[in-house]
Amino acid sequence: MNMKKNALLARSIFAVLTFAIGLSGCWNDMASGKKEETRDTLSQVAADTAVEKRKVSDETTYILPSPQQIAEIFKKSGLAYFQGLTNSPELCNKYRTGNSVEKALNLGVYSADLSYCILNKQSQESKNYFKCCHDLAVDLGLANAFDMNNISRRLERNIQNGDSVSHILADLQMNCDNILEENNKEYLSVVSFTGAWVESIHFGIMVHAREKNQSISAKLLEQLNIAENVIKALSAQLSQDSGIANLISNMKDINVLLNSIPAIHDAKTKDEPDQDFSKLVIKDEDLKKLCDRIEAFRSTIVKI
Amino acid sequence: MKKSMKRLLKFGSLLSFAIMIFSFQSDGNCDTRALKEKAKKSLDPYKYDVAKVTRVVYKDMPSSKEIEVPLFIGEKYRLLFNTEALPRKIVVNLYNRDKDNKRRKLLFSSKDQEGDKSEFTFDYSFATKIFLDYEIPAGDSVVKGGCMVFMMGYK
Repeated sequence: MNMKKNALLARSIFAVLTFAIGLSGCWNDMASGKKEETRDTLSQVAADTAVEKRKVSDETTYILPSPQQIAEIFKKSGLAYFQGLTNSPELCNKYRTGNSVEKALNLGVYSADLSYCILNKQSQESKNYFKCCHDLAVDLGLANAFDMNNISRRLERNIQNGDSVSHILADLQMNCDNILEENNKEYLSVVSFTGAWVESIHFGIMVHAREKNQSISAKLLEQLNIAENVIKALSAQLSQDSGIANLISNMKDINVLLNSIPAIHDAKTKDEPDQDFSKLVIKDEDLKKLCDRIEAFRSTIVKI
Repeated sequence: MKKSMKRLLKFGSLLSFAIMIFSFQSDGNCDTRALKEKAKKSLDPYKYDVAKVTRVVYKDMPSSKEIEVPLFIGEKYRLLFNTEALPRKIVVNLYNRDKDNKRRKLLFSSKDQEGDKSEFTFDYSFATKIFLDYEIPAGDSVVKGGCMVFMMGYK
């Protein structure tokens, strides 16, 4: 009888220990983000046997600014409001039938439209674009981003107050970033930014064409300078969706045109981290060629 | 006999508990949402722009990670780093050029921060890019990984 009890107790201890070790192992895997670790066994062995203290350098991560910041920079430079520059909110439901890359791209486009209207105190238009952003975001699994911190209610109440809305949109951006990150869908954030960036540049191009505002063209150049970062960020997400390759191809065309402008080429060759691109003087025909290419890319995004 | 078995069971349970607690402590608590909320409060009065949670894996030898961040000339930025979910401190360096560029200049290092802070900020402007380099020390069988929050705000 005692022998049986002893065996049972010993088994219990073994089971508890196994469970504890197993659980700690699981936790370690989760916490260390084992999925992210792309350890190449051969290179690891080579590194171990070579110089022991040598540092292992992982790939570079590329991050992009928020669409709201870009909209605010343009606004500060004097970007005026003109009706008809934004994409029609009536097309929203049609985009909802597309795939996730198409939805994310147009969510980006509409988020830039929303910012443009809010910063120019266009209340009704802002409401329409907020609804479009909400609907597309829901389709992309971001419904909770609008529920957290009472975003929808706060935005409705403060729609006339640009400063408050700007903070609310920053909260919304963070909520979306959190959800996408937690669900390993950060690629949608990069795709959405691409849409927002193209739409913001479109506003810059259109307003510059009407007003010939030097300050707008200066900001346009500065914004175009991050095309390279958009390409890098998209390339890092290439394996996530087959639609990303096409975006990279379009962005590369734009970047090649940008770099072929002598003033831009010279500035990049100098490699000065505080180079103020907004002070560069470029020929109208060079700018037009570049703008036409960006407009063509925008057309492929917003077309049905 | 009964007593000795009870002791053995007690010892086993305590050992299991200790293993679990030790494991949880060794990899830090990566509650990314809570860490980001905390970081956002420290960002004030700057507005949230972007954040990046980096899963740090302590390898057999020191390693590094680089993050490239585009900035806009004339804008004011606050860069915030929260390292409280890292069981072993890493060094954060900010440079004006990437790791392969011989002309790069160090702009900020967490090494220069006073005390044992787990959160630190750096305000910066007038640049088109910035490069964040994380110097990650080697790990061992106990210390394997954790996470690190970078957040940027603008005004």
